[in-house]
Amino acid sequence: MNDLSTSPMSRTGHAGKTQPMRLARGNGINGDTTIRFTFDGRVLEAHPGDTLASALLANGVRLVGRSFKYHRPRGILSAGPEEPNALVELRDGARREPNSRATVTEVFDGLAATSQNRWPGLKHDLLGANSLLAPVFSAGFYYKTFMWPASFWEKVYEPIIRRAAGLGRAADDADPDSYEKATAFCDVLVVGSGPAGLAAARAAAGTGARVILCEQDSLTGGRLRAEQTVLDGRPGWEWAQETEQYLRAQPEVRIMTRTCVFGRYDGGCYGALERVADHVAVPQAGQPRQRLWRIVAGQCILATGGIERPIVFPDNDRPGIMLAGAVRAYVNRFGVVPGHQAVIYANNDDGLRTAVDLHDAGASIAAIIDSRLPSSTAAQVTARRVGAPLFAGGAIVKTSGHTGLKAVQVRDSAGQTHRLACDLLAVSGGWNPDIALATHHRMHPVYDEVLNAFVVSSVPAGLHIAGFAAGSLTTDAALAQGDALGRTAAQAAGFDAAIGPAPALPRAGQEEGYAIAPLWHALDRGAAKQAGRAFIDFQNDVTAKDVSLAAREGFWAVEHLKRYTTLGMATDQGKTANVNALAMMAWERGRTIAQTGTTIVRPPVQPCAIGALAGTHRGRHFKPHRLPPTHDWAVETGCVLTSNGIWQRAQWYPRPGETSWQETVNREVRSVRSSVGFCDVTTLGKIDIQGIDAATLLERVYVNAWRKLPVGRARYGLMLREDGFAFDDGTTARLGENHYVMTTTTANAGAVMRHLEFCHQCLWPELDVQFISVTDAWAQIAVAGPRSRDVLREIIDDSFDLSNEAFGYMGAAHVRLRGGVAGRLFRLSFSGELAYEIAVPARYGDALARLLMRVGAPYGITPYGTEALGVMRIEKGHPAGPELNGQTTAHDLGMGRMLSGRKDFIGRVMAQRAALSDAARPTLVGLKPVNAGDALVAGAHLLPRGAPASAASDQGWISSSAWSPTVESWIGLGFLCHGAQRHGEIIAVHNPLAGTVTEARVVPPVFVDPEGSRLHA
Amino acid sequence: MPDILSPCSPISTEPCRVGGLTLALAPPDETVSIGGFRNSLPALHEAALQALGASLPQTPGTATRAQDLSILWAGPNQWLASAPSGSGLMEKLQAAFGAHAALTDQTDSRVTLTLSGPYAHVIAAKLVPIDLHPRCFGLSSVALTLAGHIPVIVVQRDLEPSYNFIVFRSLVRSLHHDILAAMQGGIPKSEQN
Amino acid sequence: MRIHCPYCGTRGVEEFTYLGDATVRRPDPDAPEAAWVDYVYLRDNPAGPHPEYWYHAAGCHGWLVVVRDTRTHEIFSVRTASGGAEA
Repeated sequence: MNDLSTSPMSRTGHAGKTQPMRLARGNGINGDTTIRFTFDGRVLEAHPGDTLASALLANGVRLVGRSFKYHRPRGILSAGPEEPNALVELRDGARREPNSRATVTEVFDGLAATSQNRWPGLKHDLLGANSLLAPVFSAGFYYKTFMWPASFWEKVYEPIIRRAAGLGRAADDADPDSYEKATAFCDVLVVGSGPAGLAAARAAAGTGARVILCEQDSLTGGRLRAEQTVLDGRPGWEWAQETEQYLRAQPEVRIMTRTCVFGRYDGGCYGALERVADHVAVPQAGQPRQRLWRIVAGQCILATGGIERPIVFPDNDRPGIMLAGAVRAYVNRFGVVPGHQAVIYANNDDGLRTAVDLHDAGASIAAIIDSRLPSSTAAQVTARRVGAPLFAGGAIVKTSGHTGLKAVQVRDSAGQTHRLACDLLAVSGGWNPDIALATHHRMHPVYDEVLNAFVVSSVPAGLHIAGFAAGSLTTDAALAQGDALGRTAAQAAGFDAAIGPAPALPRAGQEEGYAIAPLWHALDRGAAKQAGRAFIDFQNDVTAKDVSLAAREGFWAVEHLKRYTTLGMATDQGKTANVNALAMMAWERGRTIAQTGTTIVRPPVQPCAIGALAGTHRGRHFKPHRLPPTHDWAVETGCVLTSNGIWQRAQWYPRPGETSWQETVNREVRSVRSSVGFCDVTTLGKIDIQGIDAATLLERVYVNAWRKLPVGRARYGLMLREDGFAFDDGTTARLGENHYVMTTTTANAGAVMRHLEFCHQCLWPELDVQFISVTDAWAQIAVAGPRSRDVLREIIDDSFDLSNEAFGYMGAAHVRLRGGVAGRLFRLSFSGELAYEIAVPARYGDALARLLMRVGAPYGITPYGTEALGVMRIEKGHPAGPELNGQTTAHDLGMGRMLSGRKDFIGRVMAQRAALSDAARPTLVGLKPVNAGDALVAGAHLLPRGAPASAASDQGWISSSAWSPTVESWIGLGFLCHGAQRHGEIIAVHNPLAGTVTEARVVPPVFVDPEGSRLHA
Repeated sequence: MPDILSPCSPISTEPCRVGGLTLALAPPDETVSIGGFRNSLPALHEAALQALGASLPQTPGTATRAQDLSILWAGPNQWLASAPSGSGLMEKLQAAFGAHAALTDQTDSRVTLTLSGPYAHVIAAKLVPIDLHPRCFGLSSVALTLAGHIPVIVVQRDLEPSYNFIVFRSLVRSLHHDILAAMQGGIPKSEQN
Repeated sequence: MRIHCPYCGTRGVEEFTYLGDATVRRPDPDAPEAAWVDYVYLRDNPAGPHPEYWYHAAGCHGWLVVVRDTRTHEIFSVRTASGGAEA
């Protein structure tokens, strides 16, 4: 074995003692300012413009984390969002954020970063012993190892997996930061601001099109920042900077940096995440941490560049082994040399340029290993220039260095091995065009044998691909393609491409070569026999051996391979792994990569926090709230609120001294039944219906007759669905010759409106009728109880006769309140008592509640909430939501006779099906426990007495139940087979949740005032 | 006899200011919805012109104005007319074309929040998913849409631009919260030139 | 997905409510039960362009007939169900 290690590194630049690997220059770094951050508690220095990765490298930190399964020491692989290894926890306390990629984390003064997945410490990690258990963790280990016994799952396996296999720790407290959403529109969206993207944006903008340019990085320029590309004799990044300034000056151009376009959706919609304040310690007051954009774009140009591939060889995961392009980015953009003594290992000319950049930065190049045989001219020139030996046709067969690379072992084309001391290995297996966004609509990429990568097979409408993402290999080609597609896209969006003299395109002149020859791995046939572990997916610790095993066990289809081995999962989604895995599978199976195929990706292309998707809609503001007009007054009284859909309603109104809600509700019910109470019922849907065909419409949507309803009267109505089942119910009043106001249940207000619109627009457009919601226009308050008329006499103008004779049950009238406010009065009752609903314009609702309290005081008036409302309607046997559950028919509800035989209405024909009125169907009954104190629970099953508690003997269910202070017993409504014929029978009530069986008597469903004398009082 | 009920605003009338932006409750206009009966549409349009001096806008997403009266397109053959409180709008419309359209008092149904100040269009873009660019949405443009989860009618009031958000009364506090949150969220950097 | 409402212009799908097949016709009230069963329950599920009812719930309250490719979500045409405007 030859040891070819060369002299120690010649010191570079003016590296200070705290940033020993820092160079003087770096086109994206402000070296004049020094900021401080901590890594695992150690205080380190950095410069503005640094990522956490570049800052760690500048400080000579190579070991950054431990791997997922085997806890292998890992460093920094890449310089971008594809990073699989360098995942850290950022910040602390409630802002602690796990699994953050150090390569896209901008360092700010005071940033605290912590390594993860190690215990007790990064350098000495006891779980590293997992490596010894490698056979347990092989492909499919979740499926094989933790299969049985089943009783071990929750108690043994899950805790073990969770402790050992987790990555970072989520914060324990609620996220203190806020997030928001916004929508943006443009004619042309350009994704990526490298040479192709900038040229495209410039060309499109020149036509007058509205352009949005999104760049996920903090700086524009793309690879122009990472390379030493020269455009028109000047550094390429200077041209990028100038172009950005030019674009910013254009009125219809918008540049969004730190904004990742993560998904492409139907109709030209794109999702983008703007990291507004990830690069500062705390967002400015009120401002969001991140902002989720929906971008609606006429046309889109993907200029997303490419992602470099590693090469698979034994122990290819040590800290210090990096992608070649990333090494150039650290040198050129960040002014950091990631190692003193470097080896370059590549299968293409692009990777070899790393040797030049490193050499120019002062590092020494130990060797260039070019897998191609013969090697290219460029390789020979490069090797001469940097003074390094060139191994044409060489391969790396081994690496060493426990927590960081110390040496590699090279096998030359003659089969001889050489040990090379080095602390940096720059690897390039070629580049994959980044076409993730193009695959979101199920476009399956095809394998390009020349490029040795998957490329777009067909470009979906409205999408254009430019630059390396489209296979353009040189800067000049990328610029030209971007420029041309910028015009094409603008033209497709309706702009004249001939307009707009954009400045001339710069020229790079001397074209860089690529000259790739495929090399996916440096393994011998039978990867399992290889010493050391050859990683394919660093993040999921998937090795060549795992892919080989998956192939042998039959999981060779790409989708199976992914799931069986966990390849391509987690934060990086296999950006650096997938193609190598496919190549490995192809090799194992003796097929081509094209035959093996590839998976496509779903959004998001980069991790996107759930908080950003929720935006401002979180906590109390998760959904909007609708507040009835008496809300403030009700809250002042100390009521307990409940959600009724998005409405916030008073549930009950506790009084001092009351010790339980039951006590409060009982009092509210007794007050109504003995004297008077009131309840805000504004939430019921109210629809104003007018027109000469209004009655016809009602006839067709309700089961019962409407034509003969006199003006000034209301009627109960039941609506069916077209399949014959009950849909909604409510009362509708006739206010004028062709004027009705319909009420719906609170829950179905929107659905009924939609239904009416459907009937009118789709079924009977010839009907001359108009309807509009007036739910919010009126504050409607139910005043119920034997003294309700006395209370209303204090409120309604004397000129209106409230007597039973003049304004009987189901009356409806325009009224004036004392003082002149115009309102409406309905004599409706949900409670079964003498009752009214009084409606006033919503602005008076608050005052009306206060007035009722005042004028009702002599009668002991009490406000009541939804709970008492519910108790009273059960006492009266009125069906509500639990009875109108979408599975019950008019017959089931005891309303079969309401179905008019003299007209067509929605649901008529299907409701006539014999099965829907079969006597054996469960029908509405009342239930009263044999022991008054035995609680009835909604959802309990009804069985014949003594029958086994099995599905076979199930005869129905309880839909609603309550303690009735009026009956002084639990009562319930339910549905029971042959219910109407079984009044008096005692049946069993089975509650499988509590495991109880009690007995109840079947009774008619009206518990209070079955004759209705109170209603008509 | 004095009115025994006094009106109550559904939300504080005090404007909220964030930077140069203002969110304010607009004075409660009288508002009437107009639903044209299909068999008398020509007569309705004619009567509107004659009696009000304003046309019922036939182009979706537009509004017309005559003195104090403004009429918004609110759906096919549907409009929302409003005039300052006390102008007896319902009576005027009844007299003008009561036989040709369903007239429904919506004065208490909806509340108008006004967003004004520099970059109001940027704040509005956080709320409504419609294109507010001058090429698409201008003076007197009207859109029936969603602000987050809340149905709203958005109207551009002037060239500044400032906007009216017309919302169901029961939802005004949620909308107010959402607009205020959007104002506090600041102006995206990409909007600042 | 975005739908071009003939009245309101192109809007995001969140403003709309989906109902389904717009090719079915409510039978005559006297039609045999089989025709009603067909109308209420039986639906084709074609892979390709399909006319569907969509309701512009958060906009003009218009019921629309949208011809949508069920495989790609591409929308070919939109008209109002009542037979008015077309887009």
